[in-house]
Amino acid sequence: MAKTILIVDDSASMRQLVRISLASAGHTIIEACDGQDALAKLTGQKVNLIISDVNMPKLDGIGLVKALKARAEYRFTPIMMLTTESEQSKKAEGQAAGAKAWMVKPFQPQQLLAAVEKLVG
Amino acid sequence: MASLTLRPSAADTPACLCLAGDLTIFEARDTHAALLELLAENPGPWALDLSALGELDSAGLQLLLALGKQLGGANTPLQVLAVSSEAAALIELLRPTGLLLDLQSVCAG
Amino acid sequence: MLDAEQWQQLLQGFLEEANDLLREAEDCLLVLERSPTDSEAINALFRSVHTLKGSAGIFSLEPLVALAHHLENRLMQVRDGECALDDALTSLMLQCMDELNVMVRSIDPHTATLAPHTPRQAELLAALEAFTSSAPHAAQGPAVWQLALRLDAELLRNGFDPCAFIRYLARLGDILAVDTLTDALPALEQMDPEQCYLGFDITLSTEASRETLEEVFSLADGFYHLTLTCQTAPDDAPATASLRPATQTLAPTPASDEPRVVHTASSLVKVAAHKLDELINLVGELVISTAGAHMQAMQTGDSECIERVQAVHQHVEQIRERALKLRMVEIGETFNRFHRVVRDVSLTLNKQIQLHLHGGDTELDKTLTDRIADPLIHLVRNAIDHGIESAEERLAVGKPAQGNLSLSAGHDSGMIVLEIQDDGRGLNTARIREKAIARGMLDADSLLPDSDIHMLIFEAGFSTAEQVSNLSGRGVGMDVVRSAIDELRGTIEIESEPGKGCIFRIRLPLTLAIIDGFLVGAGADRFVIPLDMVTECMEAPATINGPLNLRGKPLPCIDLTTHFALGVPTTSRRNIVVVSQARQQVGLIVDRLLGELQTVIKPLGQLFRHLNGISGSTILGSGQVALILDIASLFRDLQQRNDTKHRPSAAIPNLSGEQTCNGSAI
Repeated sequence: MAKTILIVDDSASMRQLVRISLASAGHTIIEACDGQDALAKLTGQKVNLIISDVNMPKLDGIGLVKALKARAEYRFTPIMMLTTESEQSKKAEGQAAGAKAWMVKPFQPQQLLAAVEKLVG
Repeated sequence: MASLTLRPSAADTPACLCLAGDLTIFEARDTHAALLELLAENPGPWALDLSALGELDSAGLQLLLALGKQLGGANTPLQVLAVSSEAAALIELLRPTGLLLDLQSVCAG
Repeated sequence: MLDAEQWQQLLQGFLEEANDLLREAEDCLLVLERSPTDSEAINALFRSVHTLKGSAGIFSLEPLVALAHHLENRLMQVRDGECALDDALTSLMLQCMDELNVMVRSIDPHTATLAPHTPRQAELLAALEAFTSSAPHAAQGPAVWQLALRLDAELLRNGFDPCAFIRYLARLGDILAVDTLTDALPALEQMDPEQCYLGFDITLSTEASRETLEEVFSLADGFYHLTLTCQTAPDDAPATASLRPATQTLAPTPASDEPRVVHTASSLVKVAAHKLDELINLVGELVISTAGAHMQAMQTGDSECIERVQAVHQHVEQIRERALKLRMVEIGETFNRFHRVVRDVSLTLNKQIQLHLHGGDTELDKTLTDRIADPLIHLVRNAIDHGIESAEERLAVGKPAQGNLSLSAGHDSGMIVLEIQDDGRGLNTARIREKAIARGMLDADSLLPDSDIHMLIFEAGFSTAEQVSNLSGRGVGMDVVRSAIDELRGTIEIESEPGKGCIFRIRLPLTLAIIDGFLVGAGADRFVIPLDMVTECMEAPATINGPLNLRGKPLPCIDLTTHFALGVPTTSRRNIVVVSQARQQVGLIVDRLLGELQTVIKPLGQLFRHLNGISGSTILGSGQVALILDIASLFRDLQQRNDTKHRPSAAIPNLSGEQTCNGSAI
């Protein structure tokens, strides 16, 4: 079933990859270029999944997770963090903040699709 | 939260609980509270009308199963009179013993 | 959403990648046919198909994904030693590759759409399916797994929905039963509706491996406990036991193979061909403008300036060389396709043929490799069809039953030489002559040397096939081969020995973009002659009557001034440039010799595309336009005039013809 998915990443090409991969499966994609932008774009509408980069300007992924957990309408929204091998140390911090699903970049589009299906399919 | 309406029993049919809207982890807490209030007024038996139900997830299903257990005990399944396609898909997949899907009526949309 | 241009770029990338992947897959399959246990090839094949499937998924190319998926499944069994790769399966897989190729080609490049499933695809899918059931080692059916899934109380609050995971499991196989465990569910009043009390026992029938099943839940790491037991395994053996030995034998290969592949991938940059073309075009302009600057500097006589310009010139030279090398690819990739061609053709004709490839590392311009592939395929088909005899025929004349066909590539004096050699019966000169006479291409009494008769097979509408076989009935004649090679500024020659075999030799320029030329003047115009064809220059005698005698051999001449109707010669002291091609020589009479130059070929506009004798143009440093002579077509002109004039009197075959062409026709 088509879901609404928010992708937060400061890299336009990464957003593009995610968008193409997921749009092909019929999902609706909302894009934000950092945590602040994401919070601004989340204005109460239903979002089934949030996919976020960790390292971003203004408000990073972990800050975003903390902010989301404090907002009732998004407190249970599944969040999947995209991370690079070198950011593994951030994982514990992110999980403590409430982001439990992690995916290591780079990934194949079908891996991403599979992950989305497992989380919200 | 999902809106709850309890249609009182008529003749020898049980009261019918209509659930409308989504029933997910987001609505679970409020719906749970509303159910407890309704139960205080009408202890059952109930049947379920899920034909207006939107999204249903594990938390929502778990709540329905807990309701069934409450109403009929562990061995009496809660009868589902009508079901929306989305809810039907999940119930079909998991076939929980606590819910009895009347297949004849499972054509509501 | 993606804008149209980005989408186009992605799709373009996919289409290119898909072609590469399919070619690679086909190569692997052919390697496997010869050495079925080559685990490296199996792995590479599997990877190609897998990657193709993945990329096709992005564009929702359902039929492509479906076929690739089934192919991949079969390959997985081959890889895991559960299914033997025999001839029948190889053939089937090659057919699937063909179909995948067809599908990739039929993808609409604008909408990224593909026609829905065709009967052909259904047939292949069914055949792939059937293969599993009939093959003795392919008894790998789905296994039945028992999954005991216990969940953490905090699972739901963390955004995980176990139902979503189970739905995903349903995609991997058939869920035979789910037991939703509610034992831990407290009474309604006591329950925390956001806490997870449920558990699931799932019975799943699937072909997926244990790893795949474990992977399904891994995203919710730390929030579940999964116990996996396999209830039935194929061949009544525990799945783990049947899979492990196979994986172990293959294990070392991926380990040693993977890093290398990764390395190659990361050290390559894919660039769109048109970008390279733009670069090379600009480099060409740079070469020209440097020549202009050099000329100007020489005129000023400022030695400082000349020195600087020369330094620039040197660097431009280096850039030019490097830029041209960017377009160079090894011909090996093109050659490898011939394993398939030879395999198919020899199967169809029931001939045993061994293909030998030499010089696959020879580099040539990408455009050339692309455009020479079809003519080569035609020549190879022709060699197998007409050249190489059947096994009985071969044995009868004392040859080994297996025919040999060799393809080789190499460099020769600035040209690429490609040879297609077979050890068959050679060209049947008498028969070609007969056919040519019957078709009115040749006079019955003409005395052409054998080599010239052989060249007649390249004339339009000529065919020597005793009967139109399956292969030659394609409506493509050797004349198409000839014109394709002409277009590439190449030449073709035949060396045939009756009973021993035949060699087709193709010569091609290294690149189509730049030419080393010899600049000459005729009238007020400038012409460029490809330098590698120039053998010598000499002063022309005051009057030319008949062919010249060049060291005892007759030399036919073409006067460029008259040939192109450029008016009267501007000088009385004229020169002859002797050009040669495939052992033929001709003298070009010109007004002035202006020396060597290297120049960029500008294709002729549409209007002049069919201009005879001119293959392109270039702009000189001075800004003047020079025309590049198409020597091959001048030779053909000469030949034709020769033939027409030649027929009535066959007395002195070589000389009289040339006399005519020199005296009047040209």
